Amino acid sequence: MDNSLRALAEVDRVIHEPARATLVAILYTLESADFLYLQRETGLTKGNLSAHLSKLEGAGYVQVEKTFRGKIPLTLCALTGSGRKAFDEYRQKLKEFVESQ
Amino acid sequence: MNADTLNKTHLRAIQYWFEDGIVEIAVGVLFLLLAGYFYVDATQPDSLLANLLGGLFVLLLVSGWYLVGWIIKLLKERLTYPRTGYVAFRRDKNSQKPVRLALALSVGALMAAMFATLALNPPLGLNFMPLGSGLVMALVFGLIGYRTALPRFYLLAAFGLVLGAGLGLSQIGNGLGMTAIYALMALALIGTGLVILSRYLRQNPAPAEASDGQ
Repeated sequence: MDNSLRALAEVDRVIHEPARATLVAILYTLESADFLYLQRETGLTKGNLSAHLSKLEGAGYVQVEKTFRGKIPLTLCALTGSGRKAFDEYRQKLKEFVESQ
Repeated sequence: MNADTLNKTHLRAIQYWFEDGIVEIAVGVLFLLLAGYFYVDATQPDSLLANLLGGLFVLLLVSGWYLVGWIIKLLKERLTYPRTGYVAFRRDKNSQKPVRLALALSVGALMAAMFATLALNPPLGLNFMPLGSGLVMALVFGLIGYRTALPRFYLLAAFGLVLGAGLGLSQIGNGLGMTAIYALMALALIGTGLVILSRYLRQNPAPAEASDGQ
């Protein structure tokens, strides 16, 4: 396996899934966003979004905070420091692979 | 996933802030209050009210700024966030804040110097205050249009420019010129904001249950 293919094989699989890559890309540019905004922007169903957020939260890439605004429940999501770093590395690896082709 | 994709994602988030027209409505309300101030100053310059407003102008301006923030927060919490969600923007930690601050201060000082010079030596037949205000409005709305890629802000910038030029060259005088430019711009902003808001509310009906969907 040449180096560029090895770089592709080494990309972070938690982020590499398209729905999660979209979620991380959205959160990367923001401080935080709530569940409803993410659902609207990604077009995912509630169940799918919840599952992908749980996966990202499990990897320590996303912090999910359940809170209230007045009496309305609010689920705030934000990228953690390690999530931000992992996404930077993921982008770098993809870039290296694309540039090597 | 390149920088362009991320820029588009970021642009989409910025556009979301202006998606409901609430910012225009809030700024329009502030402009209406300013128009009221300039009207009192132009029509009853020696009255107690005009002196009071003049003495408290800076305080009123700062309060007005907070009023705009309060209106935006209130309306977004009641109308936007329950319908289409909440976002908080990232503070750019390694930003060019000092550069931006220096630039803003330089432009501010330049404008103040220009206004002071023109106030001391008013060019004949030219109402420099509405003209200058129109230029500033055009600049600010043009910049917002550039940052958000939303064409309506370019239209507002053009409207401000036309208003400023028209009132600057008219015989209306500085006081009433300022009243007119702020009042007309307020109407344009509130009108635009209401159209955008009504379209937004039609496209995004209120959620059935009081929850964020999670």
